[in-house]
Amino acid sequence: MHIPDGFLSPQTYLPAWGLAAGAWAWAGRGLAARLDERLVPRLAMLTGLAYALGLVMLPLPGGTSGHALGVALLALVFGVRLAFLAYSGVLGLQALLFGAGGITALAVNALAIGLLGGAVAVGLYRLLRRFGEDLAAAVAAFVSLQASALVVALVLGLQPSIARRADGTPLFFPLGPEITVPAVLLPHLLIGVGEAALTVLVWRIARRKGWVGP
Amino acid sequence: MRAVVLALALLAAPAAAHEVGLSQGGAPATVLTLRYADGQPFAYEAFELYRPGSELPLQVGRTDAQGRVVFVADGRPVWRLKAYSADGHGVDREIRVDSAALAGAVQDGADSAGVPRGWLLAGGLGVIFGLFGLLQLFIGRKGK
Repeated sequence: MHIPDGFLSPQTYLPAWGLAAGAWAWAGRGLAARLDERLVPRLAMLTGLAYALGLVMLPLPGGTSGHALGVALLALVFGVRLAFLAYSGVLGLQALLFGAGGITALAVNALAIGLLGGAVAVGLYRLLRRFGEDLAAAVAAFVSLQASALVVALVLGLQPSIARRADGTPLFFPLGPEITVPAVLLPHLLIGVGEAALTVLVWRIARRKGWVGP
Repeated sequence: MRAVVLALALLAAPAAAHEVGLSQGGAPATVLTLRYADGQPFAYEAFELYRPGSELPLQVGRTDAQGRVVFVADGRPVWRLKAYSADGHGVDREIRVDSAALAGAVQDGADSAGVPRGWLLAGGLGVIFGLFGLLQLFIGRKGK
């Protein structure tokens, strides 16, 4: 789901960098307010897990491949701000080391996956936890992944409308939302099941160990 | 009779314009191979190949079943490959065609610089734990 370099127009990624800069500052203040010697190793552990998960590619029907994210898990354990900050770092490393996702597209990826994914996970969990903690965590993880996938698909699908040559041919990603939305969302329905199962599994351990923050 | 022959002769010229000629020959080709991170070929996906500075692609098409793009560089060293799937996977990358590639070597579109994936994974984890370790050290000193 990480958008690579060259697929997004500057009209898309420059405002996204501005938005992300503000969001990173907000998240940084959240980290500073909560920093203590117990938080750091826990955050390091789950950030490392999210990084490793992003590199375990699973073959999917249709000849493509996908991977779990770990954003919902980070958000449920540490809150949206820390999840966004930690996952932005993960995205940066994946882009620099593996070329998985682009540098120019980093802000869009971070906002769609780290911020929106984390916010949807926490919001849904709070809404649904009266029906059971595990069920709420599972649904939150599943839906947060679909929300991120939908935004990534829409951002990609809008590129032909945003930037095109005089003759009408797209300058960047050339396919419209009628193609990108199903192409991105359908595989993520399957990935979402794995993401939900993994989130519940690690979430239970984190709760048992008293890692779960406010 | 002469009129019929004349008419046939006149019709033959435009009829020949509908034919497509085919010639066969050899040329040193550059083979680019695109794969997903798990090693699956980036198969049957769309690509566009550009000369530097050109907005008109020299070649468009789809990768083959092995995720390959094959083209003849015509002695030009720098090209730009744009390959994409509908779900947003792909690359937009400058390709340098050196003498090895012209001799038939395969350029791999996977991890950059040819560093083994395991090393990159370990390196990334090292960066994460290193940075958090520094943060822990900073908090420890601040607390004293």
